[in-house]
Parts: sequence; C-alpha cells; structure tokens
Amino acid sequence: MNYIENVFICLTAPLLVAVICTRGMARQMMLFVLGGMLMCLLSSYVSTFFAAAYGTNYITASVAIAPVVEETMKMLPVLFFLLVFEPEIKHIPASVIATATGFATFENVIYLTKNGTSRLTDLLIRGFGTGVMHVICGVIISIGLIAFWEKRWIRAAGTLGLLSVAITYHGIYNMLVLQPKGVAYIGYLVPLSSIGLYYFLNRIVWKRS
Amino acid sequence: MELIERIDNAFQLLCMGICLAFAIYRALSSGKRMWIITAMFYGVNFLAVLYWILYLLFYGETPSFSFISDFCWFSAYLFLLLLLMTAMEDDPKRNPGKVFWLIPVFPFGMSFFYMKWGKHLTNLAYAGIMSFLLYYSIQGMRNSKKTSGKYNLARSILIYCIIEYCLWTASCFESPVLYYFYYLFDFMLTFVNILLYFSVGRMLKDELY
Repeated sequence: MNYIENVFICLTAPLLVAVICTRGMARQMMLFVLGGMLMCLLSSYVSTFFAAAYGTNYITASVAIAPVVEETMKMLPVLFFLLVFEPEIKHIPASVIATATGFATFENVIYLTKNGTSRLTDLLIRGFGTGVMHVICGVIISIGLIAFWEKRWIRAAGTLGLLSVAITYHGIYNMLVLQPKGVAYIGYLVPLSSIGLYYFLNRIVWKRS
Repeated sequence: MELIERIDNAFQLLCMGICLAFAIYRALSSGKRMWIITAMFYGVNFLAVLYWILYLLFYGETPSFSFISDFCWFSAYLFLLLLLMTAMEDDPKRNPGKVFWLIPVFPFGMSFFYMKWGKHLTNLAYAGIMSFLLYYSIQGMRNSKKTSGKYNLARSILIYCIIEYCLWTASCFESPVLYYFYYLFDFMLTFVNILLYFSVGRMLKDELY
C-alpha cells in the first residue's frame, strides 16, 4: 500500500515553514513548487477516478487519460496566479517551471516509494526522462503564455492551443516509453533532445534574427 | 492497420508538417497575426495526427479514448475561428438577419445523431464551435467581394467544415462503400488544409495592394 497523502505531508511540511520564513520571489517560487506537488496529488485522484469510470487498463490510462488530467491540473495554479494577481510578464516563466518542477519531484518521490532506489540506471532514466518531460511541458506553456497573454485577441485560444500541445507531447512521450526497449529508449531521449532544441533555438537562431 | 489508412495518415502528417514549416517561416519573417494563427492551427493539427498515427502504429487500432486528439482538433477549430474573426474585424457590422440563427440547427442536429457513437460532451463542444465557424464563414462570404482574398478564405473554411461533416458521417457506418468514402473525404480534407495556407497568403497579399 502506498500512502501518497502521507508522503505529501512529509515533503511539504518543510516547504510550508520555508514559505512563512521567506519573502518576495523566493516565497513565490516555493508556493509554486508546493502548488505543483499538490496538483500532482490531486491529479492522481482525478486520473484514477476517470480510469475507473471508463473502465480502462493501465496502458490506456497512461496514454489517453493521465496526460490530459496532469497537464490541465498543472496549469491551474499558474492560471489562478495570472487571472487573480495579474503579474508582470517576466514572472510567468519562473512560476510555470516551478509548478512543473514541484509536480515532477512529487511524481518521482512516489515512483521511488513504489519501486525502490536500488537501480541507479532506472532512476537516471526516470529523472532525466519523465522528470524533464514535465519541465519541458512547463517550458512549452510558459513560452506561449509570454507570447499570448498580453494579446487579448488570442489569449483564450492560445492558452487552449498550448495546453493541447503540452498534452499531446506528454501523451506521445508516455506512448513511446511504454513500448518495448528500442522505442522506449527513443522516448526517454525525447525530453533531453527537446531541451537541446530549445537551447539551440533560444541561443542561436532567435538571437541571430 | 490497412494500407489505405497508412497512406492516408502518412500523407496527412507530411502535408501538415510542410504547411506548419512554411507557416512558421511566414509568421517569423512577417510577424503578421494571421500567419501566427495559421502556424498554430497547423501545429496542433500536426500533433493530433502524429499522436493518432503513433497510436495506430503501436496498438494497431484507433484510440478508444481520443481525448488528446479531440483536444488538439478543438483547438485547431478555435484557431480557424480566430483566423476568420481576424480577417473580418475591419468589416462594417451588419445585421446578420434571422436566417443566420438557423445555422446552429444543423451542427446541433448532427451532434445528436453522432451521440449514438461518440461522447455527449465532445459532440456538443464540436457542435458549438462548428456553429460559430459556419456562421462566420457564411457571413464572411456574404460581406466580401467574390474575387477578394477574404471571400476565398471564408469559402475555404466553409468547405473545410462541410468536408468534416461528410467525414464524420461516413465514419458512423460500417458499410464498405462508405468506408472508402471516409478515406476519400480525409484526403479531401488534407487538400483543403493545404488550400487554407494559400487562402491566407492570398488574403494578406490583397491587403497589401
């Protein structure tokens, strides 16, 4: 039996105290990491509910249900922040990526409690594969929010469009890693190569243009 | 997966990829709002087709829960609507007339028919967005000259909607004749997707001169 609520309380207790003790940007980031962890916990409930309601197996739930639920839930703290506090545009990327990091961290901890910590290779794949994939989805959403949030004409459609890009990216990643070894390795490499592509575009192409 | 299905999907993915690359290039080089929306339309469509193809390839059947592709397609329709609204934003506001209120009857009527096979909420969402698309495309054709780029764009989107309905209807029946009609409509839809790229280009060219 895996009591994820207990793990959540244990992990978030020091963060909560840190939130009280800090000010400004540090507090904000810690709140987003906490928000990401909370969303991970809630999305595990929601995914399980939908998987049970539709009577799906593990593979269908991972490929079709979990990406939709997880990406939507991950976006909620950021949407709340944007709609309620109307922050400056420069604060958007850090908030999205902190939420994604919190989400990925909590998911990794759950993986560790379930599968143990003895096999370093598996843990490296997990960390640099699924963990990075969540951050990449955050990067996709943050790039788009920076581009679209201040343009009212595309705000709603752009946000939904980005969410669907992140969901599909997540779905394709899950589908690849669930395949036999060769294809799964390609899947594990997708997040790291996406990060490489992002840096290439960011540093070389966009700066040159 | 049958050969015709493979060819159809591969062709669609290739066309979407090429259109996406060209639209991104146009969006980056011109910075025009219409090209940005067009690039996003092709982007989400490309990802939806990619997810669909990978699912077919790995599991040998169409996704039993198509939430992810549906999300992308819904966003694609939203971008099409945005494209139409952007094209028509300078038009003088005219009373559409009572006949225009009959437009939603068709999409919602069809959605009740499709509910026999599909999910209720998805069908209602599609009916809503299709009503807007049909309304704005007919309105766009009515308000512009027959030789103008704007008319051409509105007509292309209207054709797109009509072919989508033919495609959805053909997919409801298991008759062997309609089965091949389904692929015929899917090929037609791919061609209309390409046509849309040229329609946007022509409209912007018209605006320039």
